Amino acid sequence: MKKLSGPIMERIDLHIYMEPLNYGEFLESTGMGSKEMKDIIANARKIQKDRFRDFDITLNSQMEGNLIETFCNIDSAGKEMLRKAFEKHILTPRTYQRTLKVSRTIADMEGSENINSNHVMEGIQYRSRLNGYN
Amino acid sequence: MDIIRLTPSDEFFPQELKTITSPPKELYCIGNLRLLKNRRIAVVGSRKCTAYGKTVSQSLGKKLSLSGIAVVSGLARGIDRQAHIGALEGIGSTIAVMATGIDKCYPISNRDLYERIGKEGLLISENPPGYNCRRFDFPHRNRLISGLSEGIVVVEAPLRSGSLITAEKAADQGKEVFAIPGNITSFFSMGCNSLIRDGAKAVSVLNDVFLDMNIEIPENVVKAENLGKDEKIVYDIINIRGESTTESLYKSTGFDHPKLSGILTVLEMKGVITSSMGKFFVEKI
Repeated sequence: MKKLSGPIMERIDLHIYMEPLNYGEFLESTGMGSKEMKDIIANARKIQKDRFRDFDITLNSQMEGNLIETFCNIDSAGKEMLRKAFEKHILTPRTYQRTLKVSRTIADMEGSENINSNHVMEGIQYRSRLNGYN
Repeated sequence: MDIIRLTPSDEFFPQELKTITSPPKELYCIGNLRLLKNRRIAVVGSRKCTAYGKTVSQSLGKKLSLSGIAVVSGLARGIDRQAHIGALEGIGSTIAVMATGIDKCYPISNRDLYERIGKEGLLISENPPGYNCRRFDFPHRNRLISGLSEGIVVVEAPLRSGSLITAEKAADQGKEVFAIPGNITSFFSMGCNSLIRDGAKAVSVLNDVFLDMNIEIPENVVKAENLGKDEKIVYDIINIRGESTTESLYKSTGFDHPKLSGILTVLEMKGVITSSMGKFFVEKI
């Protein structure tokens, strides 16, 4: 961790803490199967491809500036959630944009046109927490 | 950010610093000089620390600040950083005593903190802008941290830590020394545990520091009644366990990941839980 600085860590979109599986858990393996996951992802990818057909990008993560404003249509509750998170120093200027894009993808995976506060709340959990403010 | 130079004859120059060993001839300051009129308590510890030390340091910094105390620390990584952050979450009453010149921020990773403290708190250095800092300046600076404070709390430190030097200087200066105990198997707490063995006051709950130093305890900010039903379920589990990972919460609640993520975010925004290194803790202050 020491070798990766804060600014570098903030440029990684998703941060997920994982624990080692014990043997029993490993054998059980419940939850979504690969096929189901593949379908959801393929669908989300299709939505993004359509969205950006007039532009030279294909994925939400590639959006910058104007495109984010244009395509990340977010309802007022979602906007409010982002604003609060920023004010409480839960999001920094860098992680704010990243979280918005991740929320766009979460909304896509659900097949939702608009980003709502649930998508934002989930997106916030994936942020980089290394700025110490958490 | 404007730099103010104080000499011993200035109104805001702390009187206590005139009688310590090797008293500073001048102090360079950026920020709120009035914090030098507050009661001051130092919160220090090692750069190498655990999630436990970080959480305690942050909670203590916040609680002290909410009582109007100026939290003094050294702008270092680890425990110092969390103490300053905690105080900034309180009323912003924190004083960072720097070993470098007042215009340089070391370590660079605390640049954000340097800026914020310069605006909301107070930065102090006995070294002028442009000063070329050497390794000696760091332990030397510690006499100012203890010199400025009525008492010092060492939160987490292994056996060879600069914060133990600060504790020693505090004892020499006749200040109260507190130490937060840790597991005796923990390398990171061995310094603190040995301080306690050697006479420092053990802190079993944060309020011990407040009662001993006659500091008014701030009203408990955590209002668990403001939580929704599912939020309360998650909060209670974290509260009982002391610390939890997302995985363990998922297993205990059966909530799906998006729902659990949402609840954790809400609890973080309400300020009733905090996270450190992948684990969630109750904001117990």
